Amino acid sequence: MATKREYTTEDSSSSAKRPKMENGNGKLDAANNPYLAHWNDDKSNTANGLYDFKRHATTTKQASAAEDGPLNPFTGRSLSNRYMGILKQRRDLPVHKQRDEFLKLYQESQILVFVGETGSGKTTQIPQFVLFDDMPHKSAQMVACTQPRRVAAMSVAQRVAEEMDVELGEEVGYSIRFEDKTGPNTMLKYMTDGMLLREAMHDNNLTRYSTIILDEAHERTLATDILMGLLKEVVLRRKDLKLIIMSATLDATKFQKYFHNAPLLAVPGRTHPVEIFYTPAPERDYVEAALRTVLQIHATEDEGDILLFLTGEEEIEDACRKISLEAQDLVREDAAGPLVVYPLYGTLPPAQQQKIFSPAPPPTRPGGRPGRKCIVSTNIAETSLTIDGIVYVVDPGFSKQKVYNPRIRVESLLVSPISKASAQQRAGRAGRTRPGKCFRLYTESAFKKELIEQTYPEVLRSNLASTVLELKKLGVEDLVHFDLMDPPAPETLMRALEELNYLACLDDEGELTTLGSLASQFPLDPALAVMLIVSPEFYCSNEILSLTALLSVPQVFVRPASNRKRADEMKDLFAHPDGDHLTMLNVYHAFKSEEAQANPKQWCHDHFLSYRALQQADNVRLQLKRIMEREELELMSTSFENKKYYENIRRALVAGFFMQVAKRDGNGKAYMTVKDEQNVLLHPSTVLGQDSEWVVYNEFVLTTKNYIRTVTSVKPEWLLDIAPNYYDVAAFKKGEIKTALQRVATKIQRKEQEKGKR
Amino acid sequence: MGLAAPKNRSKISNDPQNTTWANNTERFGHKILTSQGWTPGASLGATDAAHKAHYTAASQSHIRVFLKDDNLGLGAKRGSERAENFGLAGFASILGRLNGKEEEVKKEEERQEKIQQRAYVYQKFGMMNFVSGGYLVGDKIEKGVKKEIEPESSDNEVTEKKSKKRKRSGEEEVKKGDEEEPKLKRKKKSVSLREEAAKVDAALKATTKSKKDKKAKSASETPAIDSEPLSDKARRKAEKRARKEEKKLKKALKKAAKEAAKSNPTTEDPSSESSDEEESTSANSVPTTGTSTPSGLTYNPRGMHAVRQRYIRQKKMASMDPQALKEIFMIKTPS
Repeated sequence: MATKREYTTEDSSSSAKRPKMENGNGKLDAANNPYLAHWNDDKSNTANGLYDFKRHATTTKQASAAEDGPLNPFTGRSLSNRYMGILKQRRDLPVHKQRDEFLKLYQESQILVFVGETGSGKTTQIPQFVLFDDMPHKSAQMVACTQPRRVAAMSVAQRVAEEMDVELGEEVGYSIRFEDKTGPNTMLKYMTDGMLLREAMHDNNLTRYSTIILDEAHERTLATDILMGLLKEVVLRRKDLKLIIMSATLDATKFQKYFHNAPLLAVPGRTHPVEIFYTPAPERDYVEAALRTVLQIHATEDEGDILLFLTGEEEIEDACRKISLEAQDLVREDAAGPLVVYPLYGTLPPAQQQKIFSPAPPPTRPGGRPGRKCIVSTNIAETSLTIDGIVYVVDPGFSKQKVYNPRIRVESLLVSPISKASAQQRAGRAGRTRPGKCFRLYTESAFKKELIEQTYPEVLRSNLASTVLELKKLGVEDLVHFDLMDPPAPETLMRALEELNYLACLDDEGELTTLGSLASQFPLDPALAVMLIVSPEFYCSNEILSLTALLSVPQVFVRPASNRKRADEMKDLFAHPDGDHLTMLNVYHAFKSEEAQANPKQWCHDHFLSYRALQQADNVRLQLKRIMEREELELMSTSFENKKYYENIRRALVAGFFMQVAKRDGNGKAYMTVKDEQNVLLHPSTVLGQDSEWVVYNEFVLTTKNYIRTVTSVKPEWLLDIAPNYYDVAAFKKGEIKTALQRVATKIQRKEQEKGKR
Repeated sequence: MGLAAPKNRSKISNDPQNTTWANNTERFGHKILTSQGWTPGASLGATDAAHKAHYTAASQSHIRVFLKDDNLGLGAKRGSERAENFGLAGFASILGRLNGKEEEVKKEEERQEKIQQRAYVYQKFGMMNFVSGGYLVGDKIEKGVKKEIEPESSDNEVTEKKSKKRKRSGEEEVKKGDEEEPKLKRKKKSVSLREEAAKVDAALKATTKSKKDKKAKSASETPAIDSEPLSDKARRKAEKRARKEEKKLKKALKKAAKEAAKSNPTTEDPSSESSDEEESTSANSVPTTGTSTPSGLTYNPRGMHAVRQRYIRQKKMASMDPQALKEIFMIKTPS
């Protein structure tokens, strides 16, 4: 660590190099000895004045003086020129003007609600303001700042490390799932909200932190909501803990009320006015209207980039293709400048996501019409990504949103109208660099009447099984009165409890079982976690581990529209007659074979597989394997020659997914889910033949027809054997499924009787 | 939907809402919840929470979403665009009149008519039609800002940047002042495609001009937003002046259109202009069109499709034009 420090100063001043040489010469001077650098810390602090800072009684003046240097108040090294440059920029940020006000409120109150529009600099500056006042290193504590997304946590930490002139991972670090870049010196830690929640499981009072900042609270992710509920209780137990809730929406009264009328500080952002346009009448086809609007803007409006919001990958790719074609036409007729179109969605490879930041193309000839870029995006560009240069926003008013129906236990992404808040957020994207325009493809009255005020938080639209497991692990006993900002529907909570009970994660009194506690260690859906934990009983934990990893990454099969037939042929190479789970496993094994590993990228391309997904699965598998080793779960395989090899895997599958079973309805193609009795069809992508009466499925897809995707055939005997609690025949509703199960049960009984006779 | 709508057969389960589960109070989840003090019908969450007023309906029961399987825009309903087919609109207006709401009905009818007219024009050009809804400043839409620029935005209701540029001929540009500009736009909208084509030659020059012009305009528009609203009187005067000028323009345009109607076929003749000129077969064609693509400045929303349409149109025109026919059939008779 000490050597690393010295390394960082190398570029800042030539004098920093000298001690190294002296050191090499054997002249040991304690003051310059890098191995004794920690001795210097106190001294340098004295020199800088941070030493005589009184905790929670500092002023902006003091802090500014410390910031000015010449030595870094936190490390004692001299500050680089670059730092000075950045410092100047930082002082121009809108938050800086209200630093005094912030400090006053921060010192006075335990909880503070901070509202800053995008561009106010809150995410990078506020934590630093806190550092100068809180000085967590003096009490060996830390300041935590949570972010909803991993990428944000990483990039912001990087930026703040630069601003503070320290090495990332030393004084400033980040911690995200599967990656921890912090050190013993870390005093400011950016992390995902999920990570802080995980830490809270082991340390219910979060004693490592002196201040916790929940950033982007307005996004209301599941983890942030639960953290808020949790921290609301923690601040009562720990009077020394300070809490800052940062939000980007001006309507923060809800946050204030929720946190016992905490004081509010609002900082205006640096945004320009955006003119809003509506259509005079509803559009018959919003995609077509969107394309036309983009082209019209391109042909008629001043320079400035376009951001178009659409709902999904397929729609976006399709739109991109059409826009570029038409734009080429326009260019050919010299009606407009060049236009580059970039898609943007979550599953896009990072390299391609990065492309959206490239500048707009230059005019085709000198003095010609300026070029323009157009980004066609899902709602990730709404809040999470900031693209400068956007002047025009086209908003059809839809996005894909997750909804959960506890009655039929289906969580699905459906295209639905956005909220007013979300529409405003989208429009705001046009005013980042200069006054912009937002074209809404709906009428003003539709905006007023058809859109809900706020987007529903994630906690209201998710399956809560893993959340309930986490809460139980966090020591929350009374789930009914747990103080969430938006409590979920009672039926959703009931379903979650029941699922956990059937999975034996909760006992009949609702207490966490050993299995449940173990399952909460895995960052997985409870059903997957349980399947993984019990897999050693079926002698196939290696295979189930691979399968779990494959099921927690995006689809591995690629089926491009231009080459569907070939893709299907390639898929058939891996097909296993018993189902898609086994097919996926075959893919993974083939991927890991020497032949494929020689050039995995090419191999995946040739076989129509997603290299990224497989690589990701490989990574997840490694992480899960570590957890399994830590929890001393045995890793084993049935020998491949054994004819029970695949049967064992299928049985293990039942152990986790016995609640997602469907039985064929009569002799047709239709299936019916067990217990919930929903009519479903096998998804066309399945490799499974029509001859399996019982199947387990991974996913229930809600469209005009209900599909079950990723299915594998199972035997009804296994269901009764492995999950007797769930398949308690007497409790079933009268019907075909009940009679079928009864028949199986009597058959088993008869067999056993015969055995007994022998 | 009617009989012509696509058939979409789907089997509905016996119990799509799964009431069997929902109504069962013997379940584990139900038991645990009631044991922790929940009563059926109540929502979860802390008792007497200060923020209870902010709870939404989704805290009572799960979020219900309509399954969307089409590209229908927000607020659009299937078949709603043809309400007049059923005479419902007329019926409603009769009822309105009977109820003594003459004025409102009239207003509504006028509004509908306006929308339809506009829609017709826009559809013809394949353009999108937008209405300004104010400015978004910070988190809120400020209509106040909109009011300040009322003199502009009142006629500016239709913001069609497109036609503004492409239809502007040189002479218009000279005449137009800042205030009248929106008016111009509106008038120009009703100009037919023909007229537009007539101005092809002027348009070429306008390309460069309009670009400059646009910049100048945007510069002049922005101050207008910031500046205090014109006094009512001044505004009215300006509007009057604008209207007059507009009328003049209209006349000029009509004239141009007539001329254009004659010259049009040949300009769009599939045989290239250069050959035309050499052979001097097209006596009545405009001497030098200067551009090979008459629609060089027009914005073709349907792209390839429109190009094809243009060829079809040209062929049709050729077949109607005796001169061209002669060329095609290579009849050499002195005309």
